[in-house]
Amino acid sequence: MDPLYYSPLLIVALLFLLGSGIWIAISLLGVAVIGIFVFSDAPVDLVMPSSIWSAVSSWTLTALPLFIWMGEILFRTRLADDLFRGLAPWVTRLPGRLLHVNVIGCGIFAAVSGSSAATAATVGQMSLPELKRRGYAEPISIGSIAAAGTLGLLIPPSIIMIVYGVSANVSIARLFLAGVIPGLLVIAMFMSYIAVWALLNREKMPPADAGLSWAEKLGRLRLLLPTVLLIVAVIGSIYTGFATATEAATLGVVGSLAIAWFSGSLSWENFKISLYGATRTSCMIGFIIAAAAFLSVVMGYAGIPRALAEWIGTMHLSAYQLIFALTILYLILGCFLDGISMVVLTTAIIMPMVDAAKIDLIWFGVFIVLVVEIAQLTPPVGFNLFVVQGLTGRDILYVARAVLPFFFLLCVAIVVLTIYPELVTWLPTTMFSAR
Amino acid sequence: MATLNKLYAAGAILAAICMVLIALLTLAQILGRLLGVLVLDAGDFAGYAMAGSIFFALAHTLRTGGHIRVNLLLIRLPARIRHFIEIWCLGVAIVLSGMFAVFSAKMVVDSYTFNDVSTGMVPIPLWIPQLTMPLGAALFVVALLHEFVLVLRGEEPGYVTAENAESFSE
Repeated sequence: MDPLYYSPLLIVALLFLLGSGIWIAISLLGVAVIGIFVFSDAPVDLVMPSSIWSAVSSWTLTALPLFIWMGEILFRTRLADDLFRGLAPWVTRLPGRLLHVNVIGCGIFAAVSGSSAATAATVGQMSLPELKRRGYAEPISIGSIAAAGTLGLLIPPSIIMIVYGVSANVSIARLFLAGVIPGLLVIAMFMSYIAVWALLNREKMPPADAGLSWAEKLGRLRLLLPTVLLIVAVIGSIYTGFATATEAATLGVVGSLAIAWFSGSLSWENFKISLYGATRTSCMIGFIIAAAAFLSVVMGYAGIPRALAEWIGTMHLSAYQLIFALTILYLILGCFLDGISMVVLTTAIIMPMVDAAKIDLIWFGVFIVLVVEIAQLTPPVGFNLFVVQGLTGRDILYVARAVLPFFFLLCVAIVVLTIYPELVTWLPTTMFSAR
Repeated sequence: MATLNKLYAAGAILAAICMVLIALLTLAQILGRLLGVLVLDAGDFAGYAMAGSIFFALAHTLRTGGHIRVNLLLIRLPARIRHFIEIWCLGVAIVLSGMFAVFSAKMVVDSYTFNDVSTGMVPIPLWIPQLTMPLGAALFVVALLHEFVLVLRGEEPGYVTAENAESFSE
């Protein structure tokens, strides 16, 4: 019988398990076990452990815990503080002044951190109180930090890209590079919006601070040096082909330990806290990846992804129409699911469809990252909303409203990248070696 | 109870050691390439350390509320109904993780019996790194049972306490 008739059953089972509060990884395991009993004669006692083992014991996946650890170390240094003080004097002439520090600060921190929540939390914990003290309007401060935090996903290194790359079997190094130009594009869009907003709402802007002298401005730039060096070490080593993604992550860990050492924040206690924090986060993500790998094997046995791809094929959608339909689907999913679950479910079910439509898998990875960014900003489940809620004490709907203009900007970014896919695909083709 | 907590902590320490091992192995690979020394199979071993790190940390991550779930509905329900839902969640988790623990133990026994070895330059018996899987899974089942007993007794499970304390990470 046609697997298409069965697949709604699995989707209902998954939604039921997830909705009843069962942990995401366990829910995926549950659906996979149901699936294997209903659809195939494959022995569950062999398929479950072997698919899980091969998913988590892979060399490519080792980039994940290392990048998470790097972020944990940097979170406990004075890096964010230095970013603010180094950047602030340079944006005072732009309309919107210090609000731009939120965006640029997140953009720079994103280049050493792979997570959007960590980016928003690290930059926001320091910039939000500063902006408030100086009298900047709260909605735009909150909105810009929550939105710019999502750059942590798009600008390499990126946890979500590693998850996608491992599950979809796409080069992580290429994915990383593909995110650079779209990341700069989003930064430019956010900054333009802030500038226009500031020009239209002059009465809401606080009076300007006295500018610093050039000597002082340049002196402050030195504060950015450690971060810039770290970015060059991590992204530069991937671009030049000196290091694989995992090796670059190791350089990142060593570099951030050095930064923590020189800034005096590296105690044995801090080292342990960062290590355990990273162990927990990578365990949580690794468990989801493992369960999702088992689920995709079962889905494959049942022939569901292939059947779905053929079914979509009979509708003769153009690539644009397919992307449009998928965007809508993800926007709905994104209200309820976190980014990692969205990515692993995608690779388990949607990949053959994307392949059949001849969509470039690197481009699709960046597309997924953008929709996940949007998902981080949509209530009721949006990690960045939670983070900013935690930082400001404002309720989630207030934060969601403040973020709304940036939500639309990210949607526009998807349209732009769909029309001009070269913005994504060009940079990876210029890298030195194809690792 | 104290003994159990020590067990989870031991798992967390092993997981953290595995994490440091990943970094050291990768570092050795980079340095080896620079110095022209061949570091054998560092990638494979780092992968095994990765698996070990994930499996050993399962129990500790559960207790500290690290495994994510969609609890939006849950936190809005009255305590009585929530009590039953926690029993349901833990019950399902115990059955599925129990299956995983048993099946993975079986896989390790098979690897041992058939002398499976890794495919690298230095072939090592695969059951050694694979052993982390049933061990970690078993510890996870113990932690789930522990929480289950707490909930049945009407106490708050460790992950709920930790979830309420609010921490953010993806």
